[in-house]
Amino acid sequence: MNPLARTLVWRGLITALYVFLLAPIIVVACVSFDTRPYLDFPPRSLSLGSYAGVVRNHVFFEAMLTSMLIGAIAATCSVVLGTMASFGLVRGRFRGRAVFAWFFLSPMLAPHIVLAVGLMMTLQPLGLLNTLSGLVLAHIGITLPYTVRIVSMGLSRIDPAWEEAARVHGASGGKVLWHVTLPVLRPNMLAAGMIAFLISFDEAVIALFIAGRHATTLPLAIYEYIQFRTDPQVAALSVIVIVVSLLPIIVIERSISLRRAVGS
Amino acid sequence: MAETIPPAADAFLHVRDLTKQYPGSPRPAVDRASFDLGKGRMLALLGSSGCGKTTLLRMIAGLVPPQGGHVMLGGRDMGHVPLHQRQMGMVFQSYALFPHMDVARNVGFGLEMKGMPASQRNAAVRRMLELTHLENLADRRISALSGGQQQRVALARALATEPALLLLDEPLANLDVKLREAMRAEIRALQKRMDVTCLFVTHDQDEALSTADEIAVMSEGVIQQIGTPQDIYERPANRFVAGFIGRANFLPALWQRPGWAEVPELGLLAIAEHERWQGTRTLMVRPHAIRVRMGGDMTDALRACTGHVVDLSYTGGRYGCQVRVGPYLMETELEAGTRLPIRGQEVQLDWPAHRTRVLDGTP
Ligand SMILES: Nc1ncnc2c1ncn2[C@@H]1O[C@H](COP(=O)(O)OP(=O)(O)OP(=O)(O)O)[C@@H](O)[C@H]1O
Ligand SMILES: [Mg+2]
Repeated sequence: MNPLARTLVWRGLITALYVFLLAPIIVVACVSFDTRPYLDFPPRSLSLGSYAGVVRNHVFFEAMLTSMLIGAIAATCSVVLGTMASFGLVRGRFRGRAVFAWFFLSPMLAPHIVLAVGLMMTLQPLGLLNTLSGLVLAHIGITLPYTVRIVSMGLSRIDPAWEEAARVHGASGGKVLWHVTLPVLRPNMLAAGMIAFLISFDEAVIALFIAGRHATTLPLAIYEYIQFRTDPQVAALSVIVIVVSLLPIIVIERSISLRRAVGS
Repeated sequence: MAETIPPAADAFLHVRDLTKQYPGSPRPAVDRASFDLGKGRMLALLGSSGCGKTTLLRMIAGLVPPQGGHVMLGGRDMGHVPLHQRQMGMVFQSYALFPHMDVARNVGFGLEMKGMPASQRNAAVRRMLELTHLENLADRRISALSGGQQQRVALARALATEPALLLLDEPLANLDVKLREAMRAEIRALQKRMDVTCLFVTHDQDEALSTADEIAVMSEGVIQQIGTPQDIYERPANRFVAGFIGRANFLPALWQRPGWAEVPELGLLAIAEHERWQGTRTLMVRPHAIRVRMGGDMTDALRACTGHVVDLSYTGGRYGCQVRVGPYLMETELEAGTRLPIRGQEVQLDWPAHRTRVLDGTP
């Protein structure tokens, strides 16, 4: 096969793969502009009516705010705790360090439905079931494995000589942390926070089990909505969610490479 | 154990009996290292890989706690002074520049930590950047610098606080030969100009000989000899130092009479030593001290020995010439451009008595 043909075939394959991966999103995006009150593809006529409907729907709006609030608090706490845990895991020299490491990664191993049942039974006696705090705690739990991993990775890449150089040149222990260690870790902490936010923002199963009227997150609101109605508003909302989620992904990509954040 | 010797009157840095044994290691990495260094002088710690140079340097910096001994700097015992208050500057082998700061902030780091106001600090940083020829790179990120530039930044950072003691851990090891020689001269000039006392780790003997005021030769954690480059080269204290610095011939020698030694199977040789010794010791002659003559009559037969050329190799500007004399293989040197012997040719070797040295132990 001549090189040109080979390049063309190769490009064709790649395009097909992308189309396959992106098809659901493309379909949803198209449907969101449809004017008919049910989901069908392709749309007949286009308008922004569904978007206007979403913005006017105060249930969606409040759910979106709730989700963002929960995501922000959970991500912040998860980064702070994850950073502290990382120092223990990477720098610590104590017995049972491996057990400690598994403890932090364990939520990643259990299916969310299992975690949800467990959390429900744990939060109930504490009086945290159906509360915002309960859901925040749960989301800190499921995001910790990711924040610990991302921050640990950055910490293990820190050259001990940087900190030694700082000390020799007049920085006390606290100043070394403040002027060298934490600034070097900043991209990792930022990426960890963004990933934690995304996970929390997307999470439906656990929220379904332990969130009540006080904590209806966006995924829950969508779920409830489509139980009774299926119209392009859902599609419009999905597009909005995708656009909102893109922002953290861009931040992650710019602070540390995305592949390093989610890959092994 | 020997009594602790008080510091020399003019010692600025006074190191006594510093010892460190890493856990699980059969012998100390540094064993009772002691030396004194005058203000504004530069000492090279010279030794092969793993002999404990870095460990000794790090103990002086305070990065490794010693198991014994003490360090005094400017009359102050450093034992209880926390690391960040020791007022030292250090260039690490890997440079260890802060990757999240630009060149200027790296250089100003020590001053920032001291709490110097920004305006004053900027002036000091600018001066340091000028001294190290980095004016144009002040805003660069560290990752966008070449090895030589990084080396300069590390040096500028170490000197910016006008430290009492400058520590350099193989600062030139990662540079190519040309740059290494240029930087060597620059470091030396800067050190003299700022009149900073300096300790300089290297495994490169040329670097030590050409740069430092004094050299401490280390082997297996022990300082073997301290002295000026001339001392170390011309009057090595023992067989190890003689073999480590430069090239040398070693012959077994028995005491004969003042000024003369007997070398088995070679006969009597003139030496500079006049004191009697027992048993076999080692006679050292540097290759370039040996005169190689071809044919002709022997004016001073007693001092010469006859041998045959085994090998001749060009080493740039001069030839290395191996000569077999009896059971011994002698290294000699010949200037390029002089008449050269051929392989197998008979030659006479002689050298002045004052260029020989008698060392403890057998060769
Ligand atoms: N942190 C450590 N833990 C255990 N052993 C160590 C440690 N650091 C150094 N050593 C050992 O101590 C000895 C001296 O090491 P050191 O780094 O001081 O040598 P060096 O002379 O600087 O060598 P090089 O020229 O290779 O840098 C070596 O045998 C080394 O393996
Ligand atoms: Mg070393």
